[in-house]
Amino acid sequence: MAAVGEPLGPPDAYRHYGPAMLRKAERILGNREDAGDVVQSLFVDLVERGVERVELPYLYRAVTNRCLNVIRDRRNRERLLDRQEAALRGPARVRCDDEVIGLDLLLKLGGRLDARHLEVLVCRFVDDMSQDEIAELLGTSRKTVGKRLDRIRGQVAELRASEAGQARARGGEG
Amino acid sequence: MMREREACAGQPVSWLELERHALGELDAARAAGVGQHLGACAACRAALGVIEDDRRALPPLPDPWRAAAARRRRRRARWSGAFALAAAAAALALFWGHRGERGERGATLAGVKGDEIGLGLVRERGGEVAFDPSGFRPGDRFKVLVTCAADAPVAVDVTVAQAGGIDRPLPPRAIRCGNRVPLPGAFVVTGEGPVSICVAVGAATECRELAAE
Repeated sequence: MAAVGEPLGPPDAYRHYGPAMLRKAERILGNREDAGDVVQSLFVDLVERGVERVELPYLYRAVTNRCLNVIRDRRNRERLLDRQEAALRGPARVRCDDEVIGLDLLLKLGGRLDARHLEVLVCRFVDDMSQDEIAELLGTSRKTVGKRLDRIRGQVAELRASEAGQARARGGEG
Repeated sequence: MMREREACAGQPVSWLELERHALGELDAARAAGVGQHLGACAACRAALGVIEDDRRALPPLPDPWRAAAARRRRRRARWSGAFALAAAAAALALFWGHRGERGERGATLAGVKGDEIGLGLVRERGGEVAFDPSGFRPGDRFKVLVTCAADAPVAVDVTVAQAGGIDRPLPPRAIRCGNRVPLPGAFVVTGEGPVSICVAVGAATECRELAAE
């Protein structure tokens, strides 16, 4: 990864990186209100903890994990789908076997993949990172990232096969 | 069918790199590389356009000090009295014996409801165990106990802040809630300054401040 900006105190980091964090949370959650809550609660927690300096990569990862917490909580499912604004996803430049990973798919995969796989999923298919970038951000090896991506692709394929089977069964009943 | 402006022939410039590019935080070599890619890639230019066109006003942060004071009051009430003593007995067994992630599903959760959570610490120092200690010495080993009430598995993340740095000593994971559920793994605290150990469970966060002894 290239140069890193100087670490900033949380209030300055909020002013400087806040818009980037909001855009990122909106790409994952698909609405401005929940994204705003995630970003604000992150910075409030940083201030409360007395954290003196933070960097953009740390914030990026923290926002990912907080958004995933929201997505994995089934109580939020209906609200997220109701509030979803497709335009907030932005251009989908990296796809999973030609499929855009959007909110609906994230919600479904939230019950099939653990937190570490979901984090890689967001890095690759929502944040459009390369495998090397993901490995550096998460402090793991490129090989581990590759294995997690294989499992993610497998789960997407299984999910789609299962949905196709259910659709066929419904068609047969009709 | 993929829209033409979304197609990138090579590896796209990630959103993180585009944000840094827009903020002028890339070094010269990387900025040149990104600039070259953007010159040839309509999809990545469109993504950068999303960033550059976003001129929203940032909402103000809520007053964190007031929120922190309210949280501390709730925490003191929750951890006072017999609860800490009763929980200590369970934690003693958990520190060495329990390796699972499943909490006590049928148990009455001690003092937490809804989205509230409890954070317990077990400190091991030279073979001596202390429950919910207020201080630490470099080299002390800690285990984290979480109390939460959610029905579904919840994601848990532990952070340790000291001297302006933040560490995540345990991998984020999902647990089933219960009373003082031990998180797998333990970690050693080093360094001289006071330490803040926090656990985020779903949208809730609890912290413990430990003074250097």
